[in-house]
Amino acid sequence: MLIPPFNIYYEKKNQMPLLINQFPIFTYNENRYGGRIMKLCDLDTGVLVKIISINAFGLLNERLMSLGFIPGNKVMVIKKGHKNQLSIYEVSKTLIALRNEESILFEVDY
Amino acid sequence: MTYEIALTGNPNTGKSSIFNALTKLKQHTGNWPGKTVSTAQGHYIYNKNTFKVIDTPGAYSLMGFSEEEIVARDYICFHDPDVVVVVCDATTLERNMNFLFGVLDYHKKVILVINMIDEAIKNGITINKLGLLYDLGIPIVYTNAKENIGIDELKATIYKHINNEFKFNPINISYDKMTDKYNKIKTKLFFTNNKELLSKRILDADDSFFNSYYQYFPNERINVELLRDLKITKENRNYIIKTNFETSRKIIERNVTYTSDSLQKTKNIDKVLTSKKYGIPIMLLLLFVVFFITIKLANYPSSLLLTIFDFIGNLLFKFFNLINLNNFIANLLINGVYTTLTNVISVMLPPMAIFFPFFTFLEDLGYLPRIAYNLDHHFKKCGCHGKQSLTMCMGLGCNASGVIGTRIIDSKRERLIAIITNTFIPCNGRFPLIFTLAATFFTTFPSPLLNAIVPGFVATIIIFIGIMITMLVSKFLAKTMLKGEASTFSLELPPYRKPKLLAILYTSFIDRTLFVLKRAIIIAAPAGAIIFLLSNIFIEDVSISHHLANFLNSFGITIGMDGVIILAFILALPANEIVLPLIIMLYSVSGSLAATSLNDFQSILIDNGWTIFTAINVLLFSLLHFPCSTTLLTIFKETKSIKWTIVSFFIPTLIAVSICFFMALIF
Repeated sequence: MLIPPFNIYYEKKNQMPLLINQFPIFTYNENRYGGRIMKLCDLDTGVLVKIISINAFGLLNERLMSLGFIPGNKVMVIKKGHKNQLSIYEVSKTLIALRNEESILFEVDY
Repeated sequence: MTYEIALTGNPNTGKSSIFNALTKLKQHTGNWPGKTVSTAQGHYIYNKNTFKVIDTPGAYSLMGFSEEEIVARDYICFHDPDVVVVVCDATTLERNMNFLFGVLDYHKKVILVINMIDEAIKNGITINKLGLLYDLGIPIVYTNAKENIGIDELKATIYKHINNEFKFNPINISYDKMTDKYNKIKTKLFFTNNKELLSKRILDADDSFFNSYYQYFPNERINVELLRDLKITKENRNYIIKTNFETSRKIIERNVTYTSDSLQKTKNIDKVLTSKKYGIPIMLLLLFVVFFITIKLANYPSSLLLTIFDFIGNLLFKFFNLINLNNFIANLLINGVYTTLTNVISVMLPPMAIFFPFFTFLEDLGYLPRIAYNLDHHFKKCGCHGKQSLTMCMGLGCNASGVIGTRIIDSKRERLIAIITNTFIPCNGRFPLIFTLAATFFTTFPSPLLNAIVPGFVATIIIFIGIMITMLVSKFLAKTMLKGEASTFSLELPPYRKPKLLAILYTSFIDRTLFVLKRAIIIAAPAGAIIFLLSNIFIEDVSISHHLANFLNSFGITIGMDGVIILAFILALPANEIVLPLIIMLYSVSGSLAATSLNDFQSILIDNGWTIFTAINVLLFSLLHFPCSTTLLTIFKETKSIKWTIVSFFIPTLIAVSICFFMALIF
């Protein structure tokens, strides 16, 4: 996965730095479908995405997989929790609530 | 012949409902995942054969993540039941299919039950049964367990399947990438009869499986050294899960069509019930409404029961006089045993009979997981698990079952916190005291409207204080004795389901109310006798109970109560239900009580120096004090440690004493 070279903007001293809002707020990359890779927790309500990978290990990985969060499966953001609240996702026709700590583990194709 | 059947499936697919329909037993059911935490057994007879049915707790997979999954997996794998019945929810077939493939790894005789078929029909989901049958290769039965539809067919299918009447083979998923490795492992395994099963589990590096395997086959040794060069990684396992999932999706795409979004209604309701602004206020409002109705309605049957029991008591007394029974024994039976018993019944039965149907209604509706959702971030801040609120809801019914219910929490640290703090939620044994005190001491306002509203309000505040104390103590424990980070958390929100009113009335009344009442009566009768004896045996012209009360009095007064109340709380250790009858009995000079209405209770209490602050202190003390002996025993069984049992006795007691002490200082 390629990481956008943010540091370039600071290395060239003569160049004007980009304005804050011109930075992409998420890490992104062109994937083979032409979409962007995002974290599940960054998505807004009502977005339908496809899971690409899970960065969890061991037992958490298995629990999430058995709940239906399997690479290749589609997830819809039903409700975005404010601040610390849980977010609700629809996966395989069920509603699952996850904390931000878990949903940050998913890379999805936006 | 006796056969054994195991019921398995994802959580909240209705396994317990199928179990009840098959065995005619009354296992508790509810619309939330994790309702069943331990296995239940029952049996039924079909064609002169006995079928033993085992209801296993729901599991999301058979990979041994949490305790109940290990229980389910070990049962299917090592106990080798004659048939495994996998129960699926018709609306979430895709995910359930994953579970089915997991079961097929371990067992070849499987029946697929598609439950809640009525919901599928209502939501426009059509299932091609023949196609599914062809793809999966296992018998399929449609059921609607709540309405008893399809149960006879299920019984017949089980019978036929055991007798090998079905001539088709279950689906065999091919793992193309793995075949080489799989065969390699198979050739390296000697000395075992379970080659197929073992090689698959070695392939996906399932440690917990081998832990159980060695337990059941202690003589087998698998040479893991030989297998090291195969590079068994997480990837293998992910590949297997992914292939299972792809297969199930293909099968579902072929055979199931959805015409509308079956979750739309649930999502719409959730927009309100789980919103940040209204979620918690609605929860408290619901609580208030339930309490309001309970207190309002419970008064009349309570007074009626008291009058009837009083009348019968008088008749009994006359009867005892007639047969010339010893005066002391007659008094013991009437004023000791009978009066305590009837008081417990008439104080407890009406509020419980009104409160429980409401509670069961909310449970069957699917509201409890939403409470967990709304409260999660508060619990997270306290360093404990979001599912603790579910165990607290179970604690409303009975603290002992709340303690058992903590099995849904995977992390041991968080589970201990949930166990220790469970007693801060008043169980049904303490509700009558709260309701009665609220209805008697908080109705002295000039306006009738206030009189109607305030008791319910007081009860809600008491619960609210309980929740706050739970959080504070959890935070304290998480910072000191049980240090650690909040563990991972995922919660399934089941769709809202329309509860069956008759079933609710049945389960809540027959099951819960009468169960609680039975427990109270078993404790109340001997306690009544003991109190009567204590009050009527005199040492130096003062009864024993007075000695005890005087001994405790100075301590009682420092915390805003008196010795009699403390004595009653200590004597009521076996069952909190009897606190109020004991207090009143101890106050009455003769050691007996003759109250025929709730107002009589109030006047007895006021005569003995009770004020509204005494009532508040008693309410707080009963909310926060030590758990009853049944709960303590359950805590010991669940934690298997004397230390934590003692801790869960003393922490609540200390808090109760100190809070009451401060209240007494203020007033």
